[in-house]
Amino acid sequence: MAEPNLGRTLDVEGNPVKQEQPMTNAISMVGLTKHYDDVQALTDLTLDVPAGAVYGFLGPNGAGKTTALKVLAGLARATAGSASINGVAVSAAGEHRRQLGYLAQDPRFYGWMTGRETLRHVARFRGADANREPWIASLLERAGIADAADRRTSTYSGGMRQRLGIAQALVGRPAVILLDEPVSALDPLGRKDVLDLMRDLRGETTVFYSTHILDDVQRVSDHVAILDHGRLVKAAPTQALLGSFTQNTLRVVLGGATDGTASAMAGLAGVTSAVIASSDGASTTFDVATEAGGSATAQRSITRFAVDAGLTLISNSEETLDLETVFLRLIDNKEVAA
Amino acid sequence: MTAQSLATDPTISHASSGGMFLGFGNSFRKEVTEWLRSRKALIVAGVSVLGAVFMTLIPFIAKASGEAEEAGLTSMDPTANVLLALAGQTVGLIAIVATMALLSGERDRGTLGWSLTNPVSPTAIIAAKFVAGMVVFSIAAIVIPLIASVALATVVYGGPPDLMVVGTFGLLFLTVPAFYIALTIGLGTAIKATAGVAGAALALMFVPQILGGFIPLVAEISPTSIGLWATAVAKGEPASALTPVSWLVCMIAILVAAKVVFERQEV
Repeated sequence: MAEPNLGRTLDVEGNPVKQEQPMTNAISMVGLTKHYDDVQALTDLTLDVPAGAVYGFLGPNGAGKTTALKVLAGLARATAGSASINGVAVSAAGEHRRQLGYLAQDPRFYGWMTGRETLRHVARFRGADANREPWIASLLERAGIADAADRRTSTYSGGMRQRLGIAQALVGRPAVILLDEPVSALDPLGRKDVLDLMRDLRGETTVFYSTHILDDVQRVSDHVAILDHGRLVKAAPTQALLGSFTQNTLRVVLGGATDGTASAMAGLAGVTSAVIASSDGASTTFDVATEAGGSATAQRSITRFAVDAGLTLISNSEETLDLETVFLRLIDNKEVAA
Repeated sequence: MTAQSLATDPTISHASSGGMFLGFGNSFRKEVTEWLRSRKALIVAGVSVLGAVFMTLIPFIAKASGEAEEAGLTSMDPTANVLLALAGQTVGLIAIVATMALLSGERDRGTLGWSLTNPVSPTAIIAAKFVAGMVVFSIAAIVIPLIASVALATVVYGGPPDLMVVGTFGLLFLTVPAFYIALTIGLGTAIKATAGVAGAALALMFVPQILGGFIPLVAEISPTSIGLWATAVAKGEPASALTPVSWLVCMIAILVAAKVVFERQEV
């Protein structure tokens, strides 16, 4: 098995081109700022995307995600700041585009070309040689449009164009692929296929994609950056981000709890506070804050407390939040994660 | 899934250089294919050949209508009638109609933005559109009609035209489509709507000619007079040197401006 293309350029033999310094970031953005007339689309965006990552770029509509991707692709010019793809500076001249494949939000292709011809066209830009056909055929199959490969793209549905868009982004074996809302036009089945494909690409190339579908990010991204009103709100590994919100918090469900149970728990070892989150009569749910690094101690003392007080301990675990909750907290409340 | 991994197939390499014309070859290839597949070349050739045949036979047509002497169209010289086959205004009009959407059409369809996500420079896209347009249009609107006209004149006027004169004429006449194709591409970088490109190009085509009716110097220095200049030179008649100089200056100005404007644009 050959080495994966982790942010590296391949030579004609398919071998990684030697570079002066080891490349750790596939994408680097430093102080990226963009305004259109009086609209501030991006403000001082500084973000590094590690090579080989599947990186979700999350934000509400109008947050600046597409603008950032367009700047990286060289389709829009930053008002200030700089960016590089695989170490090559982003510029209007287009050199950096050798390093990347790009899928627009609503991809459009030459209607008179077939899907296969479209990939051939892109392959020629990427310096493909005469033996490109097996690679193109494999991409068409991988994208799930092999059956329509020899049809004109003018006959393609939105979902098929999206799939062709992903295939063409991969044609040049780029170090980085930029995908702008890659699953937004797809039906549930197509969405699953494309997300699976993106997950499969982990380690082969760096995938940097924008979306507002939080569930997708949680499913496939190992890193996530959250953008709001053109500003970076948070960037972290997905699990670390989720963990930062659940750190030092337990969710305890007790049967038979009374009015004094919360205050009793607040005095236990390792516990700093306990409040009732909900109650349905049969059981009561408590949000329990613990001392830093004291979750295990708190869990033990809560278990003992429940036994001693004759309560039914239904659950005593660290709180788990989904990305949607974290996202809403960050966007709506501007809450700062730990 | 039977796909190869991104890293295991060595058939795709990353080309190492390109500069200002990065991606020109592939863009040129795409442009030529598009001209041929869209049948635009065929339509241009068809219309141009019909026009050339009509103009080559004009003495017969004028005679039949009884207006030949009034119009001064009595010459049965095959060379003179072949030189009538191409008219600057007609070729210019066809060039404008055929190329007015080269940039704006792609911008509307969203394919221009997609093209620019590949390793291709904006200059290469402009250059490819111009060169491919010139090659295909010249063959369809000049070479083929001239061949048809020569063949027809040989038959109907009883002998072949002077091929040296016709060849010189054809060669110099290439300046006509060159100007109008550069003009529509140049306008296309600055004007987003195809109708706007066509309107501006037509205005630039006719205004100097109208003004030239009142002020002869305007016609002389207008690059739109390049067709008349080509005909005069081919016939060995006196022709102003200002016209080709003005044409050259305008061509350079249009292409440089197109490059600069297009490079600064966001798609």
